[in-house]
Amino acid sequence: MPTTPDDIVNEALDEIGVPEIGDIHEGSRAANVARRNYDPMLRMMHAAAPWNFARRQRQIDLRGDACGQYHNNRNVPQPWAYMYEWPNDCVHARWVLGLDAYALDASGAPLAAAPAWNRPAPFIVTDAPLVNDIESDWASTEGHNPESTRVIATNQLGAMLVYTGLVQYPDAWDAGFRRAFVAALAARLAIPCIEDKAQARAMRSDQLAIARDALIEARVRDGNEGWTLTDHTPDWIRARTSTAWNAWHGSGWSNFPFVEDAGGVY
Amino acid sequence: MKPEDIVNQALEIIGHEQRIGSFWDGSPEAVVARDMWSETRDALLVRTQPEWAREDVPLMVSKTAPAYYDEQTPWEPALYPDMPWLYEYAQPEECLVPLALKPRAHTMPIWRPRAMRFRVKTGTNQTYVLLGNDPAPILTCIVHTHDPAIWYEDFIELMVMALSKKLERRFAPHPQERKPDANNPG
Repeated sequence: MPTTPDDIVNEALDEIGVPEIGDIHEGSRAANVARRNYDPMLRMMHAAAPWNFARRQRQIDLRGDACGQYHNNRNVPQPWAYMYEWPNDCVHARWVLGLDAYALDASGAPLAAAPAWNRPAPFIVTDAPLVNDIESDWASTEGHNPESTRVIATNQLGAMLVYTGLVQYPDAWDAGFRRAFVAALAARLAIPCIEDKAQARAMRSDQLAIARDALIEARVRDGNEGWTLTDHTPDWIRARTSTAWNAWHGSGWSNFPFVEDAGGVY
Repeated sequence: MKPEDIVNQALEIIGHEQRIGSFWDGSPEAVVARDMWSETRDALLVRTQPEWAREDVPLMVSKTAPAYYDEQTPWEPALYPDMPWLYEYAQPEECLVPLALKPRAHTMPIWRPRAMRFRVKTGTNQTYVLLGNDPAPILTCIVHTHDPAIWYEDFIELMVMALSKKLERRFAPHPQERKPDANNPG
């Protein structure tokens, strides 16, 4: 039997010494409070650190083109060229992978894309007046509401987004994330579920400290775990190892893997 | 364990010597105990909300809000639920305390639990109704649980104590009428 949200809530209740629940829909005070807090806290903790277990990458859906060449909607925030929909499962956009494609083929795939350059492209996350059907599932989809949609504006054609995706299944979580999330949830449950409010405040502070430590640890571990280059190659070295035509053009396939643009933070 | 056994335990606690054979044996103790039995039981169920009295009951919609209100479709309490709710449901007869509403889930387990609001109000025919926003929710509630055979021991003890407090006013011997304790006559 997989670990369920009910089990996670019980772990949080254990942390603050409150009797466990049978299930999260049982109607008890603890269950009702947990039901109100579980989803927002889960999203918040996903977005709080660049968790490796939640890293996702995919080509995002074009929703606007300032030139009108690849999309009818030309209402793109200035000065950006393209606008893409915030993925349904995204809780935090980390970076847009620069592809430098010159066009899209009939299927929408970027032509002459160069993802191996591993170059981050500038982008912003913003709100755009793209309406969603009132009957749709917008209420449970982050970034969507009847009046507007959260979008990613960038100059990249066929943009590839690297983001933190919502992982709903506790068994797929990193152990550090589980520890952080349980502590953060326990902190939210302490005040409503512990009758002695002085004790509840103390419990909340303890649990917040545990969550904070776990987040710091996650950021450190992310830096150590991923294969990202942090070496900066001085321009005089690049000039020495480059041919004449690409000597000062920064990263490129011929310079791979000297990707000085993509530091270890991604 | 029968209800009469619980009443007899309460009578013993207050030092009353008469026991009852059944609620219907015609004795004053049985008549008084019968009067207070169901209210005491339900009050304790409401107060303690034990897990063994918790059940899920599907709700049936009795009123639905229109797509929108305007001059052609004014809000009428007899036709539509209270604003801003979308649905009104009859409270099931077995429900004693409504605790929570949940949707009929498509997948199990439910990986993204969400809260569902609801409100209880008195309907037009003086019965309780529920207001919510889901077309077919399931109500988790404390239900009338009459059979002492399924009560947990702590609830039986609570019932004995609550009944003894009520029966004490009527049947406890007057202090001057109490028999002296053989071990402590003073």
